[in-house]
Amino acid sequence: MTERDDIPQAVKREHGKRSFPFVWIIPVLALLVGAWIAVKDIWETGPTITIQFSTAEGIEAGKTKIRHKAVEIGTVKSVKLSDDNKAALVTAQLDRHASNAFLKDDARYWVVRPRIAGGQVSGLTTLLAGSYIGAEPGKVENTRRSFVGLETPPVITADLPGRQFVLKADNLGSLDVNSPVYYRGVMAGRVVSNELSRDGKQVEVGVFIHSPFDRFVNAQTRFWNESGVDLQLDATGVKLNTESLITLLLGGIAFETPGDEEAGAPVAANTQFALFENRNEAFKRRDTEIQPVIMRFTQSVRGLAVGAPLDFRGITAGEVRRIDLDYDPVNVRFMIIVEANLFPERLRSRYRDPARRAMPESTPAQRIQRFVEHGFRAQMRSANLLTGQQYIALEFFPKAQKAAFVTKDGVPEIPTLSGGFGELQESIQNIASKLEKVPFEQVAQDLRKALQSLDVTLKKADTLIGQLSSDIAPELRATLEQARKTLGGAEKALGSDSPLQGDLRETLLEVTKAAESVRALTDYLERHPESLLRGKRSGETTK
Amino acid sequence: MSATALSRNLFVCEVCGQLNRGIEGHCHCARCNANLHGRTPNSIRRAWAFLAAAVILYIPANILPILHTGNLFGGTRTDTIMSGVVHLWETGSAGLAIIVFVASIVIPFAKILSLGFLLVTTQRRSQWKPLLRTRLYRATHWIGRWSMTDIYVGATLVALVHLGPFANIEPGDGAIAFGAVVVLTMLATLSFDPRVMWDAVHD
Repeated sequence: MTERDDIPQAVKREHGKRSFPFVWIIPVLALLVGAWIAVKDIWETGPTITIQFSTAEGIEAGKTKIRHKAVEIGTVKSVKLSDDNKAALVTAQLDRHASNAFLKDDARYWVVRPRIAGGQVSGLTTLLAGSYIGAEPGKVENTRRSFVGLETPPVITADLPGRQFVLKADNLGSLDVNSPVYYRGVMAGRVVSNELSRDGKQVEVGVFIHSPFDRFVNAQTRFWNESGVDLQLDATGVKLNTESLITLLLGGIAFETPGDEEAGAPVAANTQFALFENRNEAFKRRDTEIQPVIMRFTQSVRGLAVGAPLDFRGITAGEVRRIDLDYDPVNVRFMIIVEANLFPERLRSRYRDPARRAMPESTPAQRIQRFVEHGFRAQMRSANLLTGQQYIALEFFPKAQKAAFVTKDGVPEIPTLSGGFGELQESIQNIASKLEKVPFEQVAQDLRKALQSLDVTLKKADTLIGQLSSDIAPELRATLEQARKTLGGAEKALGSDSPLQGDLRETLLEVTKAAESVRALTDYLERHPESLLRGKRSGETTK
Repeated sequence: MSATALSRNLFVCEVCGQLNRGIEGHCHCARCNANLHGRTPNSIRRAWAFLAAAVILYIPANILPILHTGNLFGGTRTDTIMSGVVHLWETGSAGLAIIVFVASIVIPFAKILSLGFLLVTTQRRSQWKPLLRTRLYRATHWIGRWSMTDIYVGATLVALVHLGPFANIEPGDGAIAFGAVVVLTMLATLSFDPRVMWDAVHD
């Protein structure tokens, strides 16, 4: 190692080396940034929920989003089968910004797919972009982490103003979720659900009525099925009602509150109503007082159906409930027993006025007994000759035969009179039997005798006429000839060329001439009155 | 024992190339006044700092999404590096998937590993195959720039595909972290002074 003189010595540096290792700021910064990112990530990651669907069609782990009002609030993390292999379990991670409302017990989740239902096409965007899970926040206190997804999207979202009601029907008919609900023809809501009642005997249809319309729903409101075509054939004839084309295709519900009822306060949400089959059914007077009666008919009841009206002077006072055949072994007779419900209220308007109701009246059965004593009878009548519908008419027949008033198990019996077609048949029978009694042979013999005597009489008349022609006719002819001659003479005397006529004509001419001369004379005298004294002047001519 | 500048107490100026005879304490070049260092000062410590930062950021770089893509129909996609590789592989672009996988995952990881190995062995004054370790250092240094491929592609796409509602690509937080990892590993490589490695050999 040799020292070289041409290598200068380094110059001493004044200030020393910095002791603080600033370079370590960088990893510390990186750590801070990393920690911040981690914290932020944990902070933004919301709760994990499990949703059970019947099928996971269109749902992809890591891709399918959960959306509310088209805002992403979470992502599906995994899709797997449930333990019993009956459902698809979708595990999803909600975002932190998704509020707790999506964890409430009544939060709803459903898969949005392209769908055509209830006259609406929905979820079209999912055709291209893929399905997503729709979410609807809940309201109740309790929260949960596992949900059962809806199979169909809810029609009504929670923030929509309005109320939901439950309608009970015997039959769902053509109704479906999304079917419209009309109020006086205006669309007022939609069917949101339909399910069988727990006992399996009725269908519970959930309807949502939008805000301005829901206040028209009160305790008196009637809902009925507005199925497209309503064809009725009854004792009053044929009726055909059709609603809008939409209801024709999809079915629908209409509701109305009877106008004469007091406008009650709107009822609470989820109140149950009956869903009537049609408007007439819905607006039938609800009869609170029902008096069962029975009637025995001996004639055929063909054309009489259950539900046929009991008509009292044009007012439907009841309806047929049941028709049975009864055998009377003593008299060996078949009877038809018609059970019916009478609605006494309908016959007395004062029933609607409770103040006047407190009358010292007897029971309805006793009242019917009094009526029967005064000739109250039931009679089957034909309502429609074309269709053969029958109804039962109630009427007072003061001349009717006395009938015993019977009650059976407290059900009064109204005596019947045969009438209508039956009556006609009977009277025709009566006529026939009377005709049978007529002694037609004797009548024929009498008739023959009469004809014989008539023959004799006619012959006598013939001879009389013969006499007339032989004796009286020549005389008559001579008389007529004489008369003709007389008339011929008269004609000659009065003819235009007869001498009498000619004389008369000449005489008349003379008289005319005389009259003219007199006129000339008077004219002249008028102009020359002096000529009476002086005579006619020469040279003047009368004019 | 071979001779080094430091063993002869000579300092070469890193700016003007002037040789200086060393004195006690800190000194600077007699000709250009630049600071003179026998070895890059604190090279191991600085390399460790950068490497630590790179390791820390390597985690978010791989976990966080690096690209958000959106198209007309509302379908959005967010991809991390790994999911992007999987997506490419699944859609049939196997070659592209391999390139991205190697450039974005293998290389940064390998760099971190090799740097860590070099730092540990150097700090322990290991005498194990210094020539091989020097080659490893050179390879690490050379390969550094290539791991930026992902960032280049991402930056190009973000700039090009900006069609509003039709298609849109936006960088995610992962891209920033990933870029930081690449830069930090390069800085660590630069900070590491391989001469320190050889100093141990000739002790």
